[in-house]
Amino acid sequence: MRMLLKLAWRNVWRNRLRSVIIAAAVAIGLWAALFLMAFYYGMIAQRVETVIQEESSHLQLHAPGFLADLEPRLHLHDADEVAATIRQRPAVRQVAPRVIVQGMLMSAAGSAGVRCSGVEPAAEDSTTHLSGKLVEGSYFDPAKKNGILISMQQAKKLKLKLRSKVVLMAQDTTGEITSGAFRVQGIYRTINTPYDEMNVFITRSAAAELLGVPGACHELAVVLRANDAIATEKASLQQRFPAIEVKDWMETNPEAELMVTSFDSMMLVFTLIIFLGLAFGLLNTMLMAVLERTREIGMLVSIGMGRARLFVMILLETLMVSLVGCPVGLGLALLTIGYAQRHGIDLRAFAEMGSSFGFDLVVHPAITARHVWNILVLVFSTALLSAAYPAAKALTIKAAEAIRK
Amino acid sequence: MIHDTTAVIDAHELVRIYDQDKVPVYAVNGVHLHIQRGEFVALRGPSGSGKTTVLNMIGGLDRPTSGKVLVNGLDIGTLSDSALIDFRLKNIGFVFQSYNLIPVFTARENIEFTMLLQGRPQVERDARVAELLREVGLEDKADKRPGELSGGQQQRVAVARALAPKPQFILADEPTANLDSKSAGNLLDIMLRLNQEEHITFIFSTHDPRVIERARRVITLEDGKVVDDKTV
Repeated sequence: MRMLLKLAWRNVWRNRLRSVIIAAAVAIGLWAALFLMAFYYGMIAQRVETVIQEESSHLQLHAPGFLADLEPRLHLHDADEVAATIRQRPAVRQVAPRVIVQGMLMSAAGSAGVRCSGVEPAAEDSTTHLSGKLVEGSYFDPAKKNGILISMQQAKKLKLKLRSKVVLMAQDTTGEITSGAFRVQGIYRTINTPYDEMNVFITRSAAAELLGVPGACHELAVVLRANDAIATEKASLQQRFPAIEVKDWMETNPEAELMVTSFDSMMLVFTLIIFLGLAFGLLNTMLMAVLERTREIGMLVSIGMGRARLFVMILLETLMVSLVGCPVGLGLALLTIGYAQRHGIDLRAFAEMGSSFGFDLVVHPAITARHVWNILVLVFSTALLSAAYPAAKALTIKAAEAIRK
Repeated sequence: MIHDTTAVIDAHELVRIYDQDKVPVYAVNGVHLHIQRGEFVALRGPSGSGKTTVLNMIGGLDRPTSGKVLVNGLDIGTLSDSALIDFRLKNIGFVFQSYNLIPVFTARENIEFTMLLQGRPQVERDARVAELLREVGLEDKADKRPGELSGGQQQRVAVARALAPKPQFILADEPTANLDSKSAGNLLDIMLRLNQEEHITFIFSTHDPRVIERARRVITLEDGKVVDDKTV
């Protein structure tokens, strides 16, 4: 084996320029794949964090069947006691009770369908940081019962400004149409346009009053201290409250979950394209290297080099030329990812596209050792696969004919 | 084994037909050969007479269309391709017209190569390489690569490489064709000495008079047939 390694290594450097070019192709391919993966995972991780911290929370509790149709009558019984119990759990950071109202928000200029959350201001703020998203006006004022927070999109669409009057029309628990008048207390903006188009906020008491059920609560949003506690806390809460539905963020926000999985597939396609290009480059180079050495290969077979050794020699040559490019590509990738991680990649030029999917406009790439390992394995697999055809081609060389060429 | 005087090669009724453009070409047509250990044989004949084809079939590089080659009684035509490669490694040394050394290896590494393929231990390899470098007069060129050696020196390395695994016989295809007179003379002197002193069997294909002059037995081929077989 040592002899084969020595022979393969020296063969690699017979044509230095060609080997340097293919090593550079491996380095660039590796860098591109790692950077793309880091960029993608950074973006997804930020999106997931936004979904958890600002939209859906880690877990949500509802009355069975509520999430399917948002029926106002399906509210949680003894919600405040349940919330208090959950707050005692060590893994739980905050619990926010909400009344959910599906309705129509009307102004003098028009109307829009909305999902109105009736929130407890303090609990909500420490759960979804709602006050931090305000761009105009102020957070809920305890002195003003009929304050409403609307988004910038809604303000534009319905031509509303601070202190404008709006009417929220909805169905109460008996199925009757009910309505309430509110004044715009604040205007918020998030990075998620679809979210902004749908959501308005009033106080829990105002929402319960609108539905005609004082003290009602449809939803308990639970924020945990750590993301990795989701599965165990969910199971534990479900066991503790069997009459309540406990769902995690992927279930309450299926769009985000779908985005994560579809981006996984997209990433796979991009990576495959990169490595397919690399594979053809390697295959072409190694095939040339084999065909240029037909006579030499014929000689090797003549003097007794077996087909297995010949095959391994070509594989080793391909692996070596790939290995030369790997440290360069890896180093380059870690440097650029590290820089981008610290400074972020500014995508504000694509603000409209990014916000329509709820992505942060400054992406901080992230990569783990597992990602690096997966890509390295992919590089080696690509090199081996690319070497297979040239190596098989070498085996078909007829010694008697080759040595006379 | 080298000192055994029984037949090493028996070729029976060798025929090799090349199907060129569907018109059969008889490269070799009914060749019988019987070569004993320690012989120094030249296969002569004009271009296209079948010298190299016979050599290739004896060396297991090509398979006869009909007939068979026995080496020490073993019909090498019955061996699979892999077994034939292994057989060549253990029994046959090759010297080619164009030297055909491994360009990225030094003279020492080229000579050592077949022994490495055989899995011989380092100590044995080192001793054998040193011995062979001395035999071919290239001790001072041991660490030179083929590109740094003259044609004659490269061919001497090729002879040393062929001898390294102690084969049953050496097949040399036009070994002096690319050499000047002095280099060819030196090379032939070395091979003749090895033949005389160590009874190594050499079989050449050649039309070089310098080789034919030194050969003990000259077999003449024409149109794929043996037309003359003289022992000098």
